[in-house]
Amino acid sequence: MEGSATPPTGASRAPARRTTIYDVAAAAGVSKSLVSLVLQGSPRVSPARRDAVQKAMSELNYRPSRAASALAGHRSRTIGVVVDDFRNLWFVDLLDGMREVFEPLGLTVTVADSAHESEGGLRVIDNFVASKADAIVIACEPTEAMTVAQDIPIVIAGNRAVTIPRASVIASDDARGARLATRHLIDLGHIRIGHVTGDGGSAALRSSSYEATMLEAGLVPLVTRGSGRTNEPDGFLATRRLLEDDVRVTAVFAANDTMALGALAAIHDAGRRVPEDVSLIGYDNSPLASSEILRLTTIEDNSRDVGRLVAQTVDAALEGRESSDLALVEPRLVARSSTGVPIRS
Amino acid sequence: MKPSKSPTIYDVAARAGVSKSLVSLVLKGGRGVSDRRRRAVQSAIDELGYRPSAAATALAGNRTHTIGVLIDDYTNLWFVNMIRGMDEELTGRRHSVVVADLLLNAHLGRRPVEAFIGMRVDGLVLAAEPDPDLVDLLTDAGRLVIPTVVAGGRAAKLPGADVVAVDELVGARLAVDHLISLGHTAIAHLTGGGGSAANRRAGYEVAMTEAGLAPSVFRGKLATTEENGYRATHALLQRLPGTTAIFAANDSMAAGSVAALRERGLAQPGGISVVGFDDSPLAASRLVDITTISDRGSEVGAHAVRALLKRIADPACLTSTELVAPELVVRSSSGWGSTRS
Repeated sequence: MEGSATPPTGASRAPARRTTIYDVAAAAGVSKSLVSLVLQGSPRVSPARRDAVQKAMSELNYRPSRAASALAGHRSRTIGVVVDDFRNLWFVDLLDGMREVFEPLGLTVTVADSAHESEGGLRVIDNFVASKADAIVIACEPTEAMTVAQDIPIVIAGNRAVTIPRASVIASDDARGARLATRHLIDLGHIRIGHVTGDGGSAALRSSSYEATMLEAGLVPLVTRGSGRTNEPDGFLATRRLLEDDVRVTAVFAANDTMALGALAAIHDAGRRVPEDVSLIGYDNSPLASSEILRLTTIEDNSRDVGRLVAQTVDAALEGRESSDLALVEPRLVARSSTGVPIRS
Repeated sequence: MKPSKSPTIYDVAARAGVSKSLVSLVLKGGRGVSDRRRRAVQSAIDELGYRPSAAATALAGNRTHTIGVLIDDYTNLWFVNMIRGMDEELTGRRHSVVVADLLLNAHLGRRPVEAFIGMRVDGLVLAAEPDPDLVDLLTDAGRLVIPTVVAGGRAAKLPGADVVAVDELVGARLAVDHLISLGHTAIAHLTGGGGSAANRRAGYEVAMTEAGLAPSVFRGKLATTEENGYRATHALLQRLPGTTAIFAANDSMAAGSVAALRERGLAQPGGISVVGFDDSPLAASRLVDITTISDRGSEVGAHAVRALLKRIADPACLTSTELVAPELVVRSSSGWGSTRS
């Protein structure tokens, strides 16, 4: 693919021909490799030679072929992010936050989904390494395949049940967020508050914090699950079970917004209205929650801040600097129209 | 967790009594290896349970087994089915799919396609509208710098790229015919920018005109988003209160439309019918449950992978255009038409 750099020719007099890296090297009296190093911003180039190259570039009006400069480096200047469900949109804010930090550094974020892979994410990780990703961010529950040590930095985004040796964990404070959600419903006057949940590190933290908050308030925790996932069909299943178990439930706290979408359907199916009969709160403040069709009260996990911290941690690792192993970001409540005071019967 | 030490290519070479380069050669399926030595390497691989890592293979050859997919926006979920179809088609292969979006990287000096080139992806699936800058990056002297397949209907052309798309015109006709068969005549269309939206609009206008009905097109702000579908529906009902059915350019707009109708107490059952396009996960969710036209995303993904692998194997092969037939998926957002007063 090196083909976009034209082979060396004589002096460039024909105005139509684009100046190449060889022309710059010749004019500056240096090698092509040294021009490459300058283009990559390598610190190994002396100021004098850097100045000579930059002077030649501006004199020749050289516009580096971006493909050529991408190929010149040892690394691809990309950060690979692994997710397990493209439909769960919490990762969009995470990427946005990462971008803010990576953009000025000339790093680009690419995403792979490990869900449909029989080898449990092994191929995804292998191929990121093969395509010379500079670092990997795991934004899903790490599988055993992902715990194998790699030569490049790995950072985990979000609270996970499994950890990876030497990998930092940057997450939103799930326990704090679940307390905010449960307190919001208690403060509105709800007593029979159910929680629908599934597997995973974040869900477990949210669930135990919900239980602790209920018990502290002298209320009885009521938890149901679907098939163990935290997706829309499981939100539906778990909420249907919840409403069957206790018809007097007036509020539902879903482990995430995607589950809340399923929960809302189950509440409607039971012939009950949100928020008049049942209040519903999600978690993540994903784009789904702010949609006109849901207008869901939720917990903003500030994954944009998580993304920024993840990127700073990746940058520190790439530069060989120390950074903390664990950082927690403070969540906050976003009240929309899916929660309200309970009707007293 | 302590990673167990897995056998390396050096272990295989030592066991087979050959050089590491020869093992590489065997792994690449290269010619020029005698049958005897190939068998020796093969049995060493089997005995040691050696699994060549993609990284090692990439270093040995020049393939990364990575396919880059460029999308517009992660929140428009139509691409999810396409990725699933790609993954399914790649089952049993070592390839994996990597996604980057144009929206997220919009302000970057470095475009995601450059990242893909830097990653040395084997090929690219372009599931976004190619702007002139992108076309410029992907081509050199009128030729593609990387094997590329365009997925979905696009307004701009990318010379030398294969195209796999659902037949938008047929899809729009399916939507209109469905509504007509339910007795609707006042069928409005909500649209926005982009090549797909333009094709769907054209299909709607043709189908309406052929049925002797008057097309009425409403265009929100440029993007075909949920919010714009919501706003355009409110505007539509103010201008044309007699509307009994709405065909939206995609499921995101259709979801916004259903939200607006529910707010006005005009949703199904008994109210205004809505048909979307794409069969996205949102449309399929129980809460939203929108009648839609399946864009056969997973088939488009599977065909795109096949076309791409063919092009990677033979970059000079003739470019192909493949149109996948769309399907009507009936859900609860469409119902019998009756004149509303």
